Amino acid sequence: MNPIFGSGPALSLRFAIVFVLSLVAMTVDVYTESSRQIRSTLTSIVAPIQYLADLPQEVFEATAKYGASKQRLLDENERLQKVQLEQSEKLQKYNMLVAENARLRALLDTNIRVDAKKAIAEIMSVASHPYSHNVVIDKGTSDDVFEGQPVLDHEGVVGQVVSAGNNTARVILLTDQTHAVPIRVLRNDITGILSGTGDINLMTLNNVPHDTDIKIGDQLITSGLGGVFPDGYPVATVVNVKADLSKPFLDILATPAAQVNRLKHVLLLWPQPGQAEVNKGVIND
Amino acid sequence: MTKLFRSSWWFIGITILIALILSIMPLPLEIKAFRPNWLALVLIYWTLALPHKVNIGTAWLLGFILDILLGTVLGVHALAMALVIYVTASNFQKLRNFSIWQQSAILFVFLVLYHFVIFWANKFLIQVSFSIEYLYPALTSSIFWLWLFPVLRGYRRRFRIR
Repeated sequence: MNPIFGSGPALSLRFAIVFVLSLVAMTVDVYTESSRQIRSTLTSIVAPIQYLADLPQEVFEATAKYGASKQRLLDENERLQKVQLEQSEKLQKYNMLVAENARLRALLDTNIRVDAKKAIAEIMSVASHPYSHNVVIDKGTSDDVFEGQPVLDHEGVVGQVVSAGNNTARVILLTDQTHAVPIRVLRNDITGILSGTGDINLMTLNNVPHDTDIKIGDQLITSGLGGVFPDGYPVATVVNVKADLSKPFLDILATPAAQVNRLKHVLLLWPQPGQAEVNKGVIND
Repeated sequence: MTKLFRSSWWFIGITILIALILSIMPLPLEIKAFRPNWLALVLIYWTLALPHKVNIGTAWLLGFILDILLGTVLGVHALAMALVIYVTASNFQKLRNFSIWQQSAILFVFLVLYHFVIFWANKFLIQVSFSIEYLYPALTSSIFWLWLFPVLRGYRRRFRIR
């Protein structure tokens, strides 16, 4: 026979205990540094659940691939070959420009830019919580993923790694309300800070004075000043500039260049130490 | 006795694991905002059915796991989940005797409270702004209760989980 009333301490006492526990957990998580280590350990522990949650989609996609018709594959092949041809033409020009850039930098006595190490990771799960835009990827510290690592897709910057477990890592997206990235305008090198709004398609450029030359359609690229993202990767495009003179600054909205809401694969970057040196030089000047 | 104890936890554990998986499974952007709070629903069911087994402690622990899985500030979902289960557990005898429609309506209120606790904690910790969208899951959850309650009750009776 089961007891009608549960054994153990009274309900309100139990609630008081977990209430205090929650407050302790929140304080430790938000205000101390040690929470990073704890979080990455916890992330490793729950990784099996992440893999399980990812399984149905994996199976579905594998089946879809298997059932793809021959004609569709041929079409895709043709399209990719065209893209490949266009890109190889650009690449030839790029190689020439890299060499030229290195020569000019040598003349100016600044550090030469070096290519970063890269790796491709797959998105395992997308946190749908409105307060935090983040995704889990299938690479972790065992693949040398580290906290603060820049993450890109084929169009531009996606975000950065916030916690790395053994085989998974969590990436905070650009559009998260707590995320900001230092940028410059491609057209005229005006610098600024672009922060997320919590809307998956919008970001906002903060504290830009009214007389600044920023127009709709301007490309925003990473400035490299924050030390997290290397210089020169596309971040967003300006979609709205509103000058309300009753406010101290311009209202500027931009949409991310990366396809943040339909990610499947992302690119992890390992910026070279040389690049940080270049950035320091810029700041000192 | 110990064997029975173990086996019933095993059956409850499966439903909780499924709820956790459903809470983090990728969904298309259009319906993402409407994802029901599976874990809260399943925990409320077990609290109503077996309050001596599933209670505030279990709820807090699982809320904490949800925090890890969602990457939110640790303790936020844990607190909200514990509060909802506290309210449920202290009224479980009343709630049991309500019709499923009344339960669904009351659950809506509980889950609105759940989302407000999460919002307040986040507002206090990381400065977020409110949008009515955050309450959609409370609505879908209370609708899904109409389906989930008979399913879980059938499951509990079928396997004689006590």
